[in-house]
Amino acid sequence: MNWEYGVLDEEGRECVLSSLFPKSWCILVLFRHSECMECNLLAHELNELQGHLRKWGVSILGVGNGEVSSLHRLRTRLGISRSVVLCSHVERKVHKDLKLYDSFWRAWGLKAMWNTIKGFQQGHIQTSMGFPMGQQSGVVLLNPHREILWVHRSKFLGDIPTQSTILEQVLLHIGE
Amino acid sequence: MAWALHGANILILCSFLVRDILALRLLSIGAGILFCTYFFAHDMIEPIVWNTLFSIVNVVQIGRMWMQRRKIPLTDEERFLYEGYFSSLHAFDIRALCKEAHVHRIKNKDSITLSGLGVIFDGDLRIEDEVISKGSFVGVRSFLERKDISMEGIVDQDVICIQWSMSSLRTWADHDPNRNNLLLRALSNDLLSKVSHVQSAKE
Repeated sequence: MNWEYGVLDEEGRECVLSSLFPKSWCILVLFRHSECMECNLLAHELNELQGHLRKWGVSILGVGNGEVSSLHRLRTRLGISRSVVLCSHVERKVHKDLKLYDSFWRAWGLKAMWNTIKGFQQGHIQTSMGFPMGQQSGVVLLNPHREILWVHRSKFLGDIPTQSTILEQVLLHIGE
Repeated sequence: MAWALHGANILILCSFLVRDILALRLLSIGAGILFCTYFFAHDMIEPIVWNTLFSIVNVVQIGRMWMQRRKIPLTDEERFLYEGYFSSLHAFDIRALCKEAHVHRIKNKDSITLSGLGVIFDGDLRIEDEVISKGSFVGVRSFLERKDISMEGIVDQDVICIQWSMSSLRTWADHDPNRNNLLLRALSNDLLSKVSHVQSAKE
């Protein structure tokens, strides 16, 4: 992938995704939008891991696909650090090219419903219910040459990689 | 016998007010006993059977919780793991981790073959020119790659090494996400210190 996708930064300016990549190792996080349970769960995992990722020189780049204003909400509501670069890509071409899952049952199936309940139990909150909410989310580990080393494609709502899974992949690839 | 019914309901009410699940279950058992007393006096068998079942479930769960909460003395190896890497885990988890481990006591000038993941509890171990000192892990890469690779090391002093097989450590860690997180963070810190050591040696 050449990462030449048109995106909007937090100020709503048009730019190319590749220009937002850091020069270091990078975890690319693809969000559907900022209000759902999955974003809550994923942001929580990444927030806790961020300090440790920084030690390894790994930066985080978040790509949402909602309105630009939702990025600001995402940052403030979920406590995402200023060091994390966020942008919006409404066309979702990145999501499609990464072959992320998108289906009605991904968001409304039994596993998705169960994870929503578990999320509430863990103290997370879903602030809006869009429809059909065909979510496409995933996490990608990239080296400084922008090569994809690992992809987690969320099969159903709440199917997020845990802190240990992300850290394991980082150690496995950076350690080499 | 109305007192038993009122007493049971007061205990149920109290159980809703407490925040500790252990206290809640104990109050629930007390209420069950009073309910049974009341229903026994009125020859009502079905509610007695149901309340007995509830109490059995509560007793079993209290037993499990007590097993996890009880204060257990840690051995030197367990305390080393607890204080060094897993301080936010319960002693119960550390005991389970050590149960899976094999403690190697290697005499001076001896060699040892290790597989899986190990941590040096005392002394220095030398593997292919690399000196692994106290508190460092052995076999991190093979653990991350999920390959059970054997390594041969020699020692210039008495060494104690705590070692786990790949499968047993994975099973222990997969039991609880917190265990897995702490283990991976410990390995990450270990690799970071090795990287900085190599970099400072180059400089």
